[in-house]
Parts: sequence; structure tokens; C-alpha cells
Amino acid sequence: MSSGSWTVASWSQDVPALAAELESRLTDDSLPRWRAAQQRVADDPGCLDVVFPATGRTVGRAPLAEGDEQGLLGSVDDLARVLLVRTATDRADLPRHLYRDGDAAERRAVLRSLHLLPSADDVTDLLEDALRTNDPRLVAAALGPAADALDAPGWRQAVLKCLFTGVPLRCVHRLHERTDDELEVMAARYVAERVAAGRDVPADVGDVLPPTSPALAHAGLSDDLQGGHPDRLAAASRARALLLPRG
Amino acid sequence: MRIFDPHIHMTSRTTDDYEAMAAAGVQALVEPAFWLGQPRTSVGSFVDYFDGLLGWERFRASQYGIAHHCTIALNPKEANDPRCTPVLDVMPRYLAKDGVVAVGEIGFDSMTDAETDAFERQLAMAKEHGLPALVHTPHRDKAAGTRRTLDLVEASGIGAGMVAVDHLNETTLQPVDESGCWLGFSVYPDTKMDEHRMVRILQERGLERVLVNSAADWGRSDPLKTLKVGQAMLAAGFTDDDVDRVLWRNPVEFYGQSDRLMLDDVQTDLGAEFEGSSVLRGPRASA
Repeated sequence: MSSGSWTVASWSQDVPALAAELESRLTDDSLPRWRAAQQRVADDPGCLDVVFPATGRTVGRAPLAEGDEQGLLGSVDDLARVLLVRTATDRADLPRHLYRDGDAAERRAVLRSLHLLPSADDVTDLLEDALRTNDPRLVAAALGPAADALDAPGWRQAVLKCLFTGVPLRCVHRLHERTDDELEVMAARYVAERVAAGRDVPADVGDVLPPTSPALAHAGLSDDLQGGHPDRLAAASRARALLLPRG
Repeated sequence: MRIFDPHIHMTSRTTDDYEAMAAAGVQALVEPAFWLGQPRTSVGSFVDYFDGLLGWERFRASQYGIAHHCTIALNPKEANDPRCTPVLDVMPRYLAKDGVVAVGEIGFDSMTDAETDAFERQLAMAKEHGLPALVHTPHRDKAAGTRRTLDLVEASGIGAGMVAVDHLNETTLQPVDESGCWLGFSVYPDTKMDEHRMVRILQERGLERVLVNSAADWGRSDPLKTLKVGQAMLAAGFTDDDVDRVLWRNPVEFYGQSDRLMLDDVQTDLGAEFEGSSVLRGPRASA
């Protein structure tokens, strides 16, 4: 997979593929440093407490997806840390330990690693913790493949949070597969709130509110509902252009 | 004018402040760990505070294009409370983190034995982790506190160039200058230094090894004092390059000794070498 085509689904690759992806992005300087760090952890998993926080200094912090300046689809250090967690899987409490003691970057990597771990531990509470923050990179990391562990109500709230906090919906794993009538209605009500305030709606809200959705009836898009206020009429017009079928 | 505020407590400030600072040219800052105004009663309170410095506060700053770094420590005032001192055992894991650019604020408040013990242990931690130390000097009995500070720094074996002694004034700067430590000056609306006294010190003493900060916090203080010092320097005949030296290159040089500055996003021309070595460690963002 080339660096330009990294998507949320790329995180579902197996460990050898992720390792190859990382190495393809490292430089002549950083590749030996990375291999040494990985070997250190393989030899002594206790080293992880020192190597894990320092990973950004070892491999860099560039975003994985082209044009993703905030790194919402993950960064090179996220990828390296995911592989480090996998190297030290003999510690059953490891994800919880690394998450609790980690800074935001370390926590992102733990969230991105959960679906790859053999542990039968229920780690939903870690996802929920991340989703309570207002840090878009943590919210996005919690909505990668590990989000399969969230139940439908929790997952819908998380997707709605993306719309509120500006996390693009392309960061959400299995978005189309998991979107249901209830989420469509929730998104439509959110559109109605925005239009009633005379504001724009997120450009990608149509990803969970397709032109054919019956939920559009809840989106408050009709001019009759705007009380004749020019700002609301304009907002309704812009939202209709975004959400309704053309012609 | 590009500004690096080497000491400011942003946790206590609003987003209006961030906006005004960014407009004034502040592109990077260091937030030292200190007390909250209200005494802490447990280690958990420190842990949440440290996590906030590394997490939420860095994110808030980034929204305004400002690179946020922090220092981690048990502050002198709370070093006297046995409910707080066990935080010293938690500190090493924070000293391994990205963006933690020094141990601080450490030093003296009332010069008790407990303060001495915490000060010595934390100087040792700085040495062990290869980090600079940011040392607060007391409000009361400042001259004696500064002398005692320099004694402990020398006894610790940490290099003088790795230590900044902060909140100095006309009466305390000389022994610190002679020690080879960095000189920190906090410019305040009423207390500590003001911008015109600051300019006079720069004229009399020179620009090297000087850090000028706003030390703005929850008390009466002004996060734009760094800018005002820069303006006062220019009005007094200093050049743009002099101002850049004091307000940007000096703090980058001091904290750059940690290898933990994260300036990739704010100052692309920092990739250029500064006095023979780049402050940016590890692969660049474009790698």
C-alpha cells in the first residue's frame, strides 16, 4: 500500500503488513533506530515503559495519510507504537497500563492496537474514556477497528461527536456498514439544529444521511420552517444543496 | 517578532489569551508545573494536572498555532506537605515524555528541610534524565534563597548551563550570573520585574544566558509582557536581531538541551542549524 492511500481500513491489516508499511516510511537514519528499539522491547518487555514514550523521537510523527495534516487517520509514531505493543503481548494488563500512564500520543496508539491483541479482556472502557475527551485525535483513534467493541448506542453517540467536533467521518471504521436508521435520525436532528441557528452543516454529514433517507424529514430543511429569517433561509438552502438529490 | 515564552501557566488562562498571544507573535511556550493557588491534597491531583499539561493544554495551544511544552516537578510550596511528596515517585515516567523539556519549577519557598530534600532529589532526576532544571526563587528572603539555590545546584553536579534560576531582579542577578546558570526574569504588571527595568538590565549586562518570561498565571499578570519587553528593547535602540535573540533563540537554546522541543510545525526555518546544531531531533515531519 502506498503512502498516499492510507485509510482507516489500513489499520485492519495484519501485523507483518503494518510493519512493512512502517519500514517503508522510515529514513536511513530512523530505520536502524526503530529496529534497535523494537529489539530492545523484544529482549526485555519491561523496557517498553521507556521506549514507548520516546517513539516519536525515534521514528518521527508524520501523518500516515496524505493531506491529513492533523494526523486524524494516524501518524508514523502511532504505527510504530502499535507494533511495540504487539511485541510485548505477554503482559495481559499491558494496554490498560500503557493507556493509564500514557500521554495523548501513547493513548492513541493503545486504542489503535486493541483489535490486534489476543487479550480477551474487555477494553471498552478505554474507548469510552477516549470518547469522553474533546481531543479529535483521540476520538478518531477510538473509532478505528477497535470501535467494533462499542455497542450500537455508544457507537452512534461517538459518530455524532465526530460531527460536533469536526472529526471527518472518513476516520470511522465500517461507517456505512454500521450506520442504521437511528443514527440517520440523530444526524438529521443535528442538521435541523444547525439550520435553525443559521449555521452550516458539516460537509460530510451526507455520509450518514443519504439523499434517500427517510430521516431527512427530521432535518428541518424546508423554507416554511425558517420563520422568514434570511440567515436561516440561507442556511436551509445550503443544507438542501448538500443533502438532497439534485434536480 | 517571533516569541517563545519560556515560563507561562496557560492552564490558568483563557482562549482569548491564546488568540492575543498568537497575534502578538508567540509561537512557542513552556508551561512549568506549579501549584494551583489552592493546595493539593493527594498525588492523584498532581497526576491529573501533569496529564492535562501534556494532553489538553497542548491541544488547546495547537488550536492557535502555538507549540506547547511543559516542565514537570513537585513545586517548593507543596514539597512541605507529606500528602504530596510521594509524587516524586511518579515523576520519572513523565520525564520520559515528548514535550517535557525540563524538571521544574523546583527550588525554595520557605527554605525548609523538606524543600531542600525535594530540591536535591529533583536536581538528581534532571541529571539522570538529561533534562535542564527550572528553578523558582522565593518571594521572601530572595537573596538568601538564591544563594542557597546556587549552593545546591553546585553540589548536585548538574552543569550550570543546564539550570535556569528564575524570577531574578537587580539584587539577585549577579551571583547567578557568576555561577554560569541561565538568568530568568519574570515581567509582571506590579511585582517582580517591569519591561523598562528589564531593558536596563539587558543594556548593562548583555543578552546571553537571559530568559524573559511573562510567568502569567491565575494572579494579576499579563501574557503579552514578552511582546512589551521586545517593544521596549526596540524603543531603546536594540535591533530586531537582539530582540529575536532574547525572545526566541535564547529559550530555544536553553530548552533545546532537552532534545524534546517540538517546533516542527511552528518554525520551519528552525530546521536550519543554530550555533552548529539543529534543535529538531529525530526525523522531521516531512521524512
